[in-house]
Amino acid sequence: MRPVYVLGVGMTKFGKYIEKSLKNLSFEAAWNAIHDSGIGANEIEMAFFANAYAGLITGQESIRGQTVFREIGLMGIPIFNIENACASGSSAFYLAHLAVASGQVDVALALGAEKLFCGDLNKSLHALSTSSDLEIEGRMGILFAGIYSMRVHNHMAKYGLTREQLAKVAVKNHDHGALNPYAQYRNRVSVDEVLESRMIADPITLLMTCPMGDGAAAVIVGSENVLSRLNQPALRVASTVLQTARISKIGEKSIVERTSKEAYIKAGISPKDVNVAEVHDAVAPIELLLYEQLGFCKPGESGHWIDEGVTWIGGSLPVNPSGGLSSKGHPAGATGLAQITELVWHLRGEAGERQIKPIPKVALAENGGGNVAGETAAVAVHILVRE
Amino acid sequence: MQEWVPEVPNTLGVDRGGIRLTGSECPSCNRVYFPAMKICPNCLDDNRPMKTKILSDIGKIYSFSIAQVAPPGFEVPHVQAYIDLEEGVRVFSLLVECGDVKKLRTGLPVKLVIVHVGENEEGKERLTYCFRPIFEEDER
Repeated sequence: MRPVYVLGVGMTKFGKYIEKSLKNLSFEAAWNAIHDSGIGANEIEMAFFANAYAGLITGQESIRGQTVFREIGLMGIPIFNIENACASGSSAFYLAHLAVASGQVDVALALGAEKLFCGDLNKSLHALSTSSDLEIEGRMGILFAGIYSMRVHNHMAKYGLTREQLAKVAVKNHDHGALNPYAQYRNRVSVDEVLESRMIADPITLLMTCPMGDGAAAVIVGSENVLSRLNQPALRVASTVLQTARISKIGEKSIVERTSKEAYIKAGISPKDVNVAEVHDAVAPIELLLYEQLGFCKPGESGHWIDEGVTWIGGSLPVNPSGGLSSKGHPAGATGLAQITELVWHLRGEAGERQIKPIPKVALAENGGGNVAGETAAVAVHILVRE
Repeated sequence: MQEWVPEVPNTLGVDRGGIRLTGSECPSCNRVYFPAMKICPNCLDDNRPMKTKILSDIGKIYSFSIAQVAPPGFEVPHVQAYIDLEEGVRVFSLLVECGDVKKLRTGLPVKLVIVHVGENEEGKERLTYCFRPIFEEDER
């Protein structure tokens, strides 16, 4: 395998787009990434299109990628359609990386897009509910918010996390989102507002959940010889790892622990080396559990971390400087690639008002999707290093 | 012929005349799975068939959630839990007959309840499982 570099990134603002289609959003993100990279669109040799729900929303179940790339103008090359629920975007990135690392192509594009607002809320909610095993957990009555609630509940009982600490994650991510022109929500919230908002699944309140959203993001990766003729810093993909759910025995390591451990080993770094991270805060309190599962802090220390401001912009390890899913928004297929986009902007020093200083060298993304047998169905962890 | 079908495949069986939670046990590594599996993902050996394993009727709450929203067809509040059984499996289940939900806590004992869901196209009863909490006052 040869080294792979991120050459270009681009995204749309996340939000509610009544007038724009999946194709319109995809067009904008893909061409933003092409312009950002400085390569010609005709140099892209392979493309991966990540999307989770368009089949159920518009009926375009098959060849979704070919239909959006037709709008973009990129045709004839190998195009693959990637679906891994909310981890579709990072799965497409994994494969684009593989295509270049293997030597098959010199330049590959991963594009992710989702359009959930369709004028029929029940249709959108139904689509989202299909990210579990419908025949098993679906018939058992699984509710995603309830699964998160149980994980958080258990952690509270074990380590004494407080409701205020859970709320602070939502406050932090809204503070960050307020600085991000690409975020769906740009309002700040207080701890009291978060705790007093409508209870969804105790202890998770409405302002701790991520909104439904539309948007797209794209990442172009390429080989060293392509990078060498572009005028940009070398951002190497130090590792990209994807794992899927297992049926764990009680007490065994979680999927995020397993996946991140492999990512650290492959990148040759430790969690202490990470300068900035984008993680999958589908509900804000889960971010605390992720600090521990990703090895940023020891089990039980995450509450202390949020109190001390470690993960705020300006802290020693900023997490979700974009605002995360809870503020930036979560158009499922786009999320994993939007995480990479945000990290690349920070590694290049191009993140504007929310830029992390000093400019980071090592960045980590964690993206999860779906639920099978009590575990997240697919989790991807990527580590990027500025050389 | 059996007059009922499990709503969730591979979850229910009959033991001594009663309907019980039923999983499977790997003859090689002794891991227990619920719902029952044909192949142990830990051993991936199709030469030694999995053994049917009747599971306990009583378990303990590992974690629970009281949600004010529910999937279509389910009631609010939607109380779901992970229940640890003595066979070493953690089972996802809805909780029913909770009474005062404020009394729910981790470690609380719970008992299996078989629930009638409806009928299938052949007129067979569709059955599923839930658990109900056992509060101390019930035991007296």
